[in-house]
This record gives sequence, structure tokens and C-alpha cells, in this order.
Amino acid sequence: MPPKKPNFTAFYSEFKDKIYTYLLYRVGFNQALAEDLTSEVFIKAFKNFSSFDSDKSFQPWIFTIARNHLINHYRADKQIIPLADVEQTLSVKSKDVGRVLEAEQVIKIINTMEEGDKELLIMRYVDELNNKEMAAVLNKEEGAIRTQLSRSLAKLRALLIN
Amino acid sequence: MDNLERKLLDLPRHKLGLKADLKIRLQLYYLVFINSFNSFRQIFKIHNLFLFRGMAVAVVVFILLGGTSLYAYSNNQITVGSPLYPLKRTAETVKNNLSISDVVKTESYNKQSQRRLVEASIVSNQAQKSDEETDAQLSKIIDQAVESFNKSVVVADKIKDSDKSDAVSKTLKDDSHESLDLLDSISKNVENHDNQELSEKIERARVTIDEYVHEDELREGNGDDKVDQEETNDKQEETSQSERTNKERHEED
Repeated sequence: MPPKKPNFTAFYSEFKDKIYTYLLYRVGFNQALAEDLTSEVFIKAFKNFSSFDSDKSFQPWIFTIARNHLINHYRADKQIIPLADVEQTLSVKSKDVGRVLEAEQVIKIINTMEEGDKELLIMRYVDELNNKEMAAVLNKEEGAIRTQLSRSLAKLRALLIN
Repeated sequence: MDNLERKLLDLPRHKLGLKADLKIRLQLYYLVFINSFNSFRQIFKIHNLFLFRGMAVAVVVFILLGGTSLYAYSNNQITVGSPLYPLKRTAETVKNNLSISDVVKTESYNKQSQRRLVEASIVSNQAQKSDEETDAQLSKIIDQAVESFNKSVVVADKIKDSDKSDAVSKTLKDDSHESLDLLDSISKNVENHDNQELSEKIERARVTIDEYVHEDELREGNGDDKVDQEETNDKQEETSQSERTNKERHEED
């Protein structure tokens, strides 16, 4: 008897916040847009759930869908996303002023970086995907991801020092 | 892990708002429902042709068979030799098997017995001349009638409730009069058949039923005989006593 396919709603409960956070960072902390995109991502995932290989991890699969959906969204709607909400979002979420200021600074700099670097840094440090999962999402070799990530980190470090 | 990496790992993680979460969940549940409904419909779409045909054929067969059995069961003109006769007998067997209480069983066997006699009457009436096959059929039908009658009597005896038992035996006896009339008519019909065996069988059937009908009278009759016997014995004893007394007197003289 083949193993029973896991329940999609269970996956949704496990990954909704990660996907939301990923999208929120990628759309300049526009909560309404991030929520809409999260909803669209999960509905798209549900419709394509039959193509999900249950022997593999769900995380890279859902992140791939989220990433592709985001790319499509940017293609369709090429508006510039303001970062005005960042401060408000962070100040509401955290009471530690020093950390909030640091986070604001990091996010602002990350947002000025190239899309590739920005994406890698968010995936790796915010959504905490490992190199293997990132390689699966970005359709690249694990080694290439490691190299690119260290370069992105170096760029961020340089920008922060400046 | 250097300081920068620690700073990056310290970046805030956000949670999806409750309202948005509920909205997405509702959408997902709706899709799950639609999917399930479609799968259900799909199953029926794939198999429904066979399923529907199979069910339709089963329903038609059931209606035809049930209707024909009912017709055969309720028609006295369907007798041995008719193509519907086996159906009639099957329906009767089913009815007997479905009868749970002894009262219903008795009635069922009694009716079965009467049906056989009606059939025998029809068959004997139709057969103007002696015919081996017809006589054999008649003999068989009468055997079946007697067998059913005996079964009804046996089951009636099992009824424990005296009121029910009395009512059932009254019905049996009333019906038995009809059975006797039927046997008489069969007997007349087969008079010219010159079949001694059949005539004897009819007579035996008549006696069996008649004995049951007059069971009480026979019992009473037996009771009267006993009383008479006792009275006779008493009288004989008295006579012998008086004779002995007379003898003794003679001897004394």
C-alpha cells in the first residue's frame, strides 16, 4: 500500500508564517500585499499539490512557488515598493530600541542590494533555509549558493561599514 | 558565526494576521470541499455507466420477477404444468419461511393445503378421461395438500396461548369443511378414471381432514363409551353379587 499523502492544511499551518515573512521582506513590508500574495501562493500550491513529491521536503517546494509567484507579480505590476512601512512595522513588533534601530538599518541596506543578494540573505537568515534547500529553490548547485551567499554577506558588510 | 550573521538572524520574523489566516483557511477548505465533490462526481462518472446499467437491469428483473411471482401466487388457475407454477411454489415457500409466529405459520400452511386442493379440483375437472400423467399429478397434489394440512395442525398444537390456539383451530376447522367439499368434488371428478389408488388416496385425505374436524366429537364419543362400559361393569358386578347372595341362600335352605 503506498504511503498516504500528507494533508495540505497541515503544511499550511507549518509554513504560513515563513512564507508570509519571506514575502513581507520581499515586498518592502507591505502587509496587505504580503497577505494577498501569501493567500495566492498557498492556493496555487494547493492546486498543484498533486505534483508535490511527498518523499521530498515541502519547504523548498513551497518557497519555489512563492518565489515564482513573486517574480510574476513583479512582472505584472512594476511599481516601486516604498520602504516607509519598515520602521512602523519593526517598532510595533519590538520594544528593544537598539535592536530595532540595528534591524532597520540592516533591512534598509538589504533593500538597496541587488535582488539576487537580497533574496539569498532573506532566505538564509530570515527564513533559515539551508544551502541545499536554497539550491533547490533557486535551481542552482549547492556550491554555487555557498559562494554567492558569502559574496552577498561581504557586500552587506561593506555597505554597513560605509 | 560573526556579528553580522547574528544581526541577520536577529531580524524579526512576522506572523500572518489572524484575519488573513482565516481568510486563507476558508479558501483552502472551500477548495478541499470542491475537490472532494469533484472526485466523488468523477468516481460516478467513470463507473456510473456500468453501475447505472447494472442497477437498472437489477430493478427491472426484480420488478418482473416480483410482479410475476405475485400474479402466480394469487392466481388459482395456475396449476401443475403451467410455466408459472414453480414461481407460485417458490413464493409460497418464501412466505412460509418468512412467517415468524406459529399462528401465521399455521395459517400459511393451511392456505397452502387449500390451494393444493383447489388446484387438484381444477386439474381433475379439466381431465375428462383417465390419464396416467394427470392422475399422477393429482396424486402428488393431494399428497402435498395433506402434508401442508398436517403441518398446519402440528404447528397449531405448538401455540401456547390458549385463546390464540382456540381461534386458530376454529379457523382450521372452518376451512377444513371447504377442504372436505373440495375433496368430494375431486372424488366425483375422478370417478370415471377407474384409478383405485387415486380414489383411495382421496379417501384417506378426506378421512385425515374429517378426523381433525370431528376430533372433539370423537373424543366425546370415546368418553361416552367409557362411561357406558363402567356402567355395564357395575351392573355386571351387581348381578354377580346378587347371584352369589341367592346361591348362598339356596345352600342355607
